[in-house]
Amino acid sequence: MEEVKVVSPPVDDYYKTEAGYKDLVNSTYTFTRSLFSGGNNYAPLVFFGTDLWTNGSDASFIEFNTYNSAIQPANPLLWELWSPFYQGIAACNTAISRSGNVTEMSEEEVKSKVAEAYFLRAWYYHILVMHFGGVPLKTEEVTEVETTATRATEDEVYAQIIKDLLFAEEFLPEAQSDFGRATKPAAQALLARVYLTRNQNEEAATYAKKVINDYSFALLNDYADLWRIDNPVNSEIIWSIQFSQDERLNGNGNSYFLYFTPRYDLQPGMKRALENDRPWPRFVATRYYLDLLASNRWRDARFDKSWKTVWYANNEATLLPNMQLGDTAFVYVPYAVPQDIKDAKKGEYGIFDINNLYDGEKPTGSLELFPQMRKYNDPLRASINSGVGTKNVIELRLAEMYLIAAEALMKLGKAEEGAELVNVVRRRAAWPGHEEDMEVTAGDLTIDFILEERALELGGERLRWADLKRTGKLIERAKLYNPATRQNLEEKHLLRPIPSNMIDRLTNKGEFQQNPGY
Amino acid sequence: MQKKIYYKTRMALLSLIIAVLFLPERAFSQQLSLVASAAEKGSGVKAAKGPVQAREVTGRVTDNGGVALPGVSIAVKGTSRGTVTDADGSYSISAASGDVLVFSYIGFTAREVTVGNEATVDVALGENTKALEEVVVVGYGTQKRKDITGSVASVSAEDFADIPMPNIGAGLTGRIPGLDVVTSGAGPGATNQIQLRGQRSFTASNDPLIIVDGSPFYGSMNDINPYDIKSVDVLKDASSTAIYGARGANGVIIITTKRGITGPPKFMIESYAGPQMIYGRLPYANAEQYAEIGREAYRAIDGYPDTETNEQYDAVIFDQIELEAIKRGGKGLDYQDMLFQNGHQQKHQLSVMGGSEAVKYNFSGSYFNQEGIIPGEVFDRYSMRTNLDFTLSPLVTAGTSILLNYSLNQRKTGPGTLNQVFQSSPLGKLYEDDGTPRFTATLDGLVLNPMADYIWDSYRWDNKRWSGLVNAYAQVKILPELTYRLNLGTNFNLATIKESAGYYSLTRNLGTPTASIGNTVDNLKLYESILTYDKTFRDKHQITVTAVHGLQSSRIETSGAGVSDLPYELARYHNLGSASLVNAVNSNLIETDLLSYAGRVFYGYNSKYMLTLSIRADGASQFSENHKWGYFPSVALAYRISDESFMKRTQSWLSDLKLRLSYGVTGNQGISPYQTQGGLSRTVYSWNQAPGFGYRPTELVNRDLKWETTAVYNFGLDFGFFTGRLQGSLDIYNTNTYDLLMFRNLPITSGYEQVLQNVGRTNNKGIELGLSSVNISTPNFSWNTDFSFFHNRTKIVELYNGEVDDIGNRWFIGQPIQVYYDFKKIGIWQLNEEAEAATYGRQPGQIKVQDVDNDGAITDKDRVILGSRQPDFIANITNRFSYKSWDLSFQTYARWGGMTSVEGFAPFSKKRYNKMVFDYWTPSNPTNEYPRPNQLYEEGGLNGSTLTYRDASMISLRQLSLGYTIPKPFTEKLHISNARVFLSGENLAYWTKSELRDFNMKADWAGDVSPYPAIRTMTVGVNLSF
Repeated sequence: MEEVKVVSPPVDDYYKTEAGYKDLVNSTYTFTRSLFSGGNNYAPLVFFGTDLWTNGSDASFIEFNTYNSAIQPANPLLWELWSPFYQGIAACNTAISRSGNVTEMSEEEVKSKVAEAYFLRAWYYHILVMHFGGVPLKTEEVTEVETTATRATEDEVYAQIIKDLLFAEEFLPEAQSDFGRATKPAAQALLARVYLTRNQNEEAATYAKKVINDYSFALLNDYADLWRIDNPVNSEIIWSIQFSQDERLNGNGNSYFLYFTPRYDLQPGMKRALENDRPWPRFVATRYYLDLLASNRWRDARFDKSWKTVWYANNEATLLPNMQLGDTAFVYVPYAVPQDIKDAKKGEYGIFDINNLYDGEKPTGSLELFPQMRKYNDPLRASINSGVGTKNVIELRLAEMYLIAAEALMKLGKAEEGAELVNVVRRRAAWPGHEEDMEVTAGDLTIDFILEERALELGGERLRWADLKRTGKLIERAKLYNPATRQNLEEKHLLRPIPSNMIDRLTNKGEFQQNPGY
Repeated sequence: MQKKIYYKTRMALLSLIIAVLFLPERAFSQQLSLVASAAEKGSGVKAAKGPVQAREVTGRVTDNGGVALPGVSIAVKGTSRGTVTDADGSYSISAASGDVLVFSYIGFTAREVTVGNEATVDVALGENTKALEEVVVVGYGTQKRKDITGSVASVSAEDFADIPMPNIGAGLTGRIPGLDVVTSGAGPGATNQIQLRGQRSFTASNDPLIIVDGSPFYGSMNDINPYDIKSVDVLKDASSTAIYGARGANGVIIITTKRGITGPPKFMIESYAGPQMIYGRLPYANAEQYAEIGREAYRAIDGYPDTETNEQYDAVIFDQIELEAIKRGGKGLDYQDMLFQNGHQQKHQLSVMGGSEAVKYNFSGSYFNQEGIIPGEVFDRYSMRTNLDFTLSPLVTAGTSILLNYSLNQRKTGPGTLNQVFQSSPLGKLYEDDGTPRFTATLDGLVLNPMADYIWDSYRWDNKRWSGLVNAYAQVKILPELTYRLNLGTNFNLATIKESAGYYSLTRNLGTPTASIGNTVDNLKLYESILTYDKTFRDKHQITVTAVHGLQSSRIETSGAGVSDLPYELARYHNLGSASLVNAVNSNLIETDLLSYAGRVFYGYNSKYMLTLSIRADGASQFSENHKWGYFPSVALAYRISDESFMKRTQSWLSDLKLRLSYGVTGNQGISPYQTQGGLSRTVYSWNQAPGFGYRPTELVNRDLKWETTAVYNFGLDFGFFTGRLQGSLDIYNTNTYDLLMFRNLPITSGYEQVLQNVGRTNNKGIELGLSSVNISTPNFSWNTDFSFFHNRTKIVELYNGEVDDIGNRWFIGQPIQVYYDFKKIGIWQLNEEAEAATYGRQPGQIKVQDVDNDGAITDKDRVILGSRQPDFIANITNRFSYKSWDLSFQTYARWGGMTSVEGFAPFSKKRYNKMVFDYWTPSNPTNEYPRPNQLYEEGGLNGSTLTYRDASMISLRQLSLGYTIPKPFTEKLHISNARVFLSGENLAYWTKSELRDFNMKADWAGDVSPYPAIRTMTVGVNLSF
């Protein structure tokens, strides 16, 4: 009657070995992908409801844009964020709790390994605390059935995050042979971000500058090179979340390439093609954001280098009379084009202008056609209609460090130094020859300027909601620039409701507080 | 693709041809004229034999006690002359010397008396106790029906002998009170799911234990050829199943296959074939309806003018292909019509049996073939059975039963085909004008050509199974009353499932071709020693003692591989090695052992008072160190009241009455092994395209896992009225299951989703009634009716936190295990309610759900339990008629109450996919039925799921069979002892309470109704024996 399981190793023994422990640490990374995988992923939480993004024709999760009553504890998106993150944290906790038992590695080796788990635990908690406020703070492996949970305060969570990151900073190596592993500068960069969030500007500036100065990171000359899928390893990346073109390694993949893509395939001369991504019109830039991107287009190359406005004919069956394969099939023009010009080009290519998309600030029409942000462009997917993306996600990059340092310095009254740092980023963004036109001075630096600069440089990189929240500008700017938010957005929306799946399972439901207003 | 509507005449007529081959024209016409002449003359064949003088014969018919029997029918054998006895039991009939009088009366054994020279023939008829003397198979033995103390229901081969059915599940449907059989699908090769007396377990299996010829059977229902079955006995209460200990909680179904008998070889041929047709077209929109729904979806978001149609706006919302189709007009493409064909099924079987005193044999071989309503879906089964019994000496017997089976289930389309058939735009275009096929139906990359898998021949699914059940026994009579039996058995299944999907397959949707192979090898070994002591003392005291020692061990090995990017697509799954990418390679081993000791004592006093005691001890490897062994006792009492002297007075109408009372405890070990050990799961990551696999703990260890325990009280009543003319059983039970194996959901902050624990309780209460009645019985005409009814209520009594609902799993105290919990739709928001709707964030045309807690907002708290899948009752009536050579039977089956959810009833709100046509809201059609289509929402719009729930009540004419037995004189000339031709229909008519009629009814505990059409089957066939 003895039962012997031959197909997998006994848990306790395995984690004492070097291979086993390294496997355990590897497992802590897996859940970073959860933000990008599947249909109910994180994107609506950080794009919608900000000043930059509103909804296209796909109305899923529109509640995060309108802040309507469907933002409730049972909303699936919240659970899809919460659940994998706590599983990731548990993997980190297991790695941390078992670090003392490893017999096949030296103490030094173990420390530099376990530091990865500290880094990731901080990263997970940082995103949780941003959305939910004080969350349950688990720091040790759970080995017995546990049916209760208690929320820590926001301060306690941040204190733990900083403590973990300081440990990671101390023991992580400066570089890793496996690209994508946590490193010392990654820990410092995340510290800079966290300190800025906490308004600890001195520390934020210090850590951001450490990353800028102490390593060989460098801004890429061409902003467009950052978004090339064939350039996954480069000098600007501090830490990126890894996906893969190898199906075995890609899990559920990165699906963000979908949500910024218009229905280009319905236009004359067009059909679906890998390089154009798969259409899923979910996130459309607000009028404000499009105008901001276009307003200095003569000197600032970033709109043209990270947005797609021209589509080329690839479908012989539906060509316009004067159109050949490879010609422009249609084009988005960020200003109003007179009707006679549009008419004149009718048999040649389509023209789609700002007035086709916006009536003033109000989105109009079918919301299926709009310029496409290309930061998630993914032409190496397995097939045209595959929803499984393969592109790495840059989570920490050098340009953000310049902007963090600049903002912190500005707040510390060192706007001069701040402006210098901003200009590094802005000069890189310039069209060749327009570097000087991009430069700003200390007097230009205000919090709104910083937010606009971050929109131009980091727009679409999942930081906006947090940026607005930490600067106290979410309600103000969202209501000002994104009409969809005006009716409902209020103070309570600065925190998301704790998922009902979390609370329903507790035996101490009574003590566990939901966020106010939900 | 060429439209596939063709009737498979070839297959359907095969049986008839066989029949005709055995009946040359001459014989056939001769037979007809003879029948006619017999009818004309009003006298039979025998009467025409000689010129014997007929005279009046009179007499009186009584029972063995001398009580007069009125209404006894008397016939002169071989003629159509007959009469019945009057109130005094007297009769008078014209007969000649040498004529044979047949006296028959329901509940009594018929007697034949040859008329001599006497004028008076008095006859005493003996009561027919056949039903009570019938032998019932119980665990590790047999018992006479009259001595049964528990609740056991039986179906014998005769009950479904003449009915064509793909597997035994179909034959059991409705026939055994308490047994709920539903199909798990409708395509070829679909099997059944069987549940006895409701559902008790959340996590562990609810499947009954199936024993075939003494050996536990874990294969597919499709692995058993129904024709090979002699009887099916279903053990329902715990006193019957406790002898199976840790496997008895879900009931036990004992299948016994046919064995040989002494005599010359007897051959039997059964052959049938016939078409399968869809019941009706599912109500998806045609082109006009689809276009109009699309326009309305845009009107709802101010994207289309409120006029009828507007070409300018059409040009915005429809793509080029759709616009062309609109311009052409008409109903557009009907994909259902293109896809569905008439399926067919056929079966041919030969069996031979016979034997000497020393060796008896029963052999059969059969072929069954079914092609479904979707072209390319095929199921074939080849089966062979050899049963041998050897009598080595008066004291020693031995034998084997060997069932071998090979089946093949194939498809040429993936699951996407049916989806696209229902969802693709009827405004689509499947071929370019030059004839090249299109992969998408419209310009939309997700609205695909439903026929793509056929057009490019790009998909294959292939499931082959080889199974064998081999049992051997040896039996020794140690003493006249003491028998030792050794059973050895093995049950093996080899299965291989292969799939390939090409670039132009709906599954791959223009992705690189993939292929996979999965193999399973499982093997069960069984050893059992059974010692039986059976003795009757002083004619009155019967004692039967049974002792069992058994060991069962099972080993399941799986392996498989999946690859993609095959360079040569047509290699399908035959050259996995050529692929550039290996996605998955896996293998696994699962081993379990069960060691058992069991004992049972039966004591009967004069067949009047009966007592059964049993106990079993089971040790199961799955369970934790501390809980390896479980003990399962039972006790049962039976009391035949009708044998009491005070019941003599009622004997004339109440001929049999037996009370049964039982209590027992059984277990359910049906969980996967290794759950007490915790486990690691592999995680996937990459370092710039290099592998970054890891392992993390995913199972919290529970060292206290043990079996679930089920305690059953059963009260039963067996009765017979009017000397057995009407007989039946009534059972009432109360089942409590505790220590339920349940995945308790954990707060995810622990890192674990759940842990398996023995917590929680469920309760099942139910009532079962089985009746069988002989309504009319005359030599020429008979009419029998079987009726069954059962009602079961499953209730959750306690969950892991005590009497606290688990909303996440939809488990509620006091409710069945599977309930529908959702908002309650109370209508559609109307134009004059706009302001009120706005307070809920809704607008006119959207679904109005009940604000249960009246807090002015629709929140999770407004969800209510709408219903459960559990039916109120299941009832079945089978009527059998026979008139001379004709026989007719039909089965009416009702599954009443319960709720189901049909995905398709939440139609797509957006214009993109096709949808069913319903009465939807528009500003000028203020209906409360369906919401306004709305381009901003997916299925059904906000709260769309509330549209899917339906009452699942249904009544069907499950089975109708008409047979004609060709008269002996003609068949005998051909050396055929029996020849019967029949016409049969399955699911001929349906009645459903809600609009589910055309759907394949899957209203069950297993899943929601998926859009698949209901199917009707017709068969013609022939049975021959010679």
